Amino acid sequence: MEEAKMSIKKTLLTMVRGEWIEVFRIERYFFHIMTVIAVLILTVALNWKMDQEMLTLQQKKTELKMIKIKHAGKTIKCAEIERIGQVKDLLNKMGSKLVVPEEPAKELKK
Amino acid sequence: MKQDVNWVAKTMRFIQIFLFLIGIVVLVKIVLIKFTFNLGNLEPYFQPKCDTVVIAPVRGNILDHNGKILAMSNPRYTLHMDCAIHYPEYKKDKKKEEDWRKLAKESSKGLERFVGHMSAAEYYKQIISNRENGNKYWKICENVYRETLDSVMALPLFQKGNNYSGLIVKSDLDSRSYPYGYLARTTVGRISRNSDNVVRTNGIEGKFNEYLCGHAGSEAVKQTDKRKYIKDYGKKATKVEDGQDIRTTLDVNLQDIADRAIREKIDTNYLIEGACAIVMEVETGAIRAMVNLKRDSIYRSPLREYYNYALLQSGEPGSVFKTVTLTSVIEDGYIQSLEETLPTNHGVIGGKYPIDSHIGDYEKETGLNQISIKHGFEISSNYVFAKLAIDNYGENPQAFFDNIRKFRLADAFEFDIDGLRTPTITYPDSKLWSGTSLGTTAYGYSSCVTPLHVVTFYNAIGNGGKMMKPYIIESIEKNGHNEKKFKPEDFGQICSKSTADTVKAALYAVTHAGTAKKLRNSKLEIAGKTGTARVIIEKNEKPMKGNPYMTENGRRKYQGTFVGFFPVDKPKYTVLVTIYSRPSRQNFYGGGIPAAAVKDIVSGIYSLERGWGEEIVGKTPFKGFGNMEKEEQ
Repeated sequence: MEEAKMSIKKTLLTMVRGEWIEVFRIERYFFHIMTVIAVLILTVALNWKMDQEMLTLQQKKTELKMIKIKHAGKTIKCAEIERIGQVKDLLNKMGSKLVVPEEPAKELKK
Repeated sequence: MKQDVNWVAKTMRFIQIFLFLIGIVVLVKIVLIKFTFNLGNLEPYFQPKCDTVVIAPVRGNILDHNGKILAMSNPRYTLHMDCAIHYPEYKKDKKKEEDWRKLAKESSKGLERFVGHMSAAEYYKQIISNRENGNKYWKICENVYRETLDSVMALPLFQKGNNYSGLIVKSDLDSRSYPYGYLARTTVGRISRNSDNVVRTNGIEGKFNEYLCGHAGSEAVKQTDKRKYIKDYGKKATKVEDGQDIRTTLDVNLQDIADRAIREKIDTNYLIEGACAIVMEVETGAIRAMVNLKRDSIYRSPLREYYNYALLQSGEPGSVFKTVTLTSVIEDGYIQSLEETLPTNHGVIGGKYPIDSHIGDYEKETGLNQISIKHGFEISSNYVFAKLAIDNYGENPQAFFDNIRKFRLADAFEFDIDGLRTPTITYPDSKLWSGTSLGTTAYGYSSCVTPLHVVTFYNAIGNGGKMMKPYIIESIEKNGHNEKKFKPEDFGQICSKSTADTVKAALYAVTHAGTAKKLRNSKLEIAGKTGTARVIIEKNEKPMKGNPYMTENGRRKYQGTFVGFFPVDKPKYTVLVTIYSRPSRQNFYGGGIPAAAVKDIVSGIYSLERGWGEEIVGKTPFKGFGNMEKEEQ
């Protein structure tokens, strides 16, 4: 019991004196400690990098969505003007002599 | 000196003890926070911002037979402008106000170009007057596509940001676009939300809503250091499932041809309330075009697609029903040849029926007292067909009605769009049955059928007696792959091939020497029948007491139909055109306009569709243009 008290007192005193690292010979675990710190830094860095990539992904998704919306808009515009009636009207408006054929197309056979 | 060293050592030890104690306190505090401290309401502020967002599915497209888009979802934008933005502040700083106005002037030119409702000068005038009047919500344009929005946002004023320009963009992401405008809109249908956000649909949009709408998904998002949101993969997400595409049997080109043909005939004839046209493929029963045009009650209102006559307008069909009687008597073996004759009897049947003036004219012209069934059909004689029915089914009228049922003219069959009306047939055991019911039914009165029923029956005649079930949905697709394919179905053989051929010959006689002879010189040979019928006046149009065909002020309504198939030798399409008149005092002979419209439809199909043209067989195999040039050299 007396020895334990002495041991605690000695430990506390070494801590107070700042000799704790020396007494416990922490330098033996220096590599391990550095590895843990490196892993922690790496984890934080990877998390940050992942967030950046996710952000880029999100931006690209938004861009893709915009492109799809624009594509849909253009598809609609194309459909609007490809209607036979519309083509007829446009030709007429432009003063073109071109009209919708009155006879069916002749088909080439091999 | 020694005293100094002791003092330094004591001070250092004191600092060490102090730091050690602080360390202990921090350690204890960490342990306490970890295990006992409750952040309570403050918790969200110590964690990255997370949220769950609902991802709306993209509604599927509706396509025509060739994959052309009839309906698709595409966001639309409405642009407003807070014209008075910074005005109170800039009024004091002339330079800033001048700069703003300069940019507004430059942007007005762009607005003229991209929006185009007004000239640049007018746009600028509007912006400035609204700015001076303090208008914070001036509408620039509405329902524009993304492309227009981007162009507007790239203009000098709007480029500076919404806080400087005052631009307010309101988007409707669920907006539905119909690239072909009103073309086939009744068939394609509509989707709208009322003020309570309840979705209302009809047509294909309504019937196939469950396929088109897809399923919404959800995902968790978290905020990054840059205050942007990214997907949180650590949390549960539900995958969004976009809607499936519906491919219809409609052909946009045929629909356009039919739509145009009808508009050309009735657009400026304001006595016509509306019209319906159906083009059906004989062999399959696929509906290639379905036009439903109707005017509002306002006299000069334009024709629009908003009422489905083809399915909803169950009316007395008139003379087109004579083909049903003819098919029935031939199929039951009561007549063997179209050349068989009936006594003319001045067009009188027992005094109960109206006298048929066609027979009187015939007697005068020919001096004969016998008329062939074929000629009776050509001139569309009510007398001939009432007599045929009475002579052959007078003893057993039920046999005639059994045939009508067999021809699928008595029931509403299942169709791809909701709303097909059930025909109304006056059966012998019905309360409405009278002594004239058999005869009037034989020439197209006393029974009500829809245009779709009529066209389905004629299609069967064109198809050698085999009745095809009409259908308008070809397949349900996802990303271009078929998920569900609908094949043509038939209702079976409604009459023998020889009966169908005899009826076909009778119909051909109508278009060559009868009431539809204006179709004689059409691009492809047509066989068909015209029909005019009075229309029962609806209650809101105030019918005359005791006369359901006349309004209180003596006006009548008519419907005129032509239905037939072409080319006669090997029918490919059956076409029906029905026009509906407004209440009028004028007499109306309806077969002419529909027949003329059908002629235009046939011409259009003949010139634009592949397969009708001459085939040229080359003597030497085609080697491509590159080789030809080389050979010429």
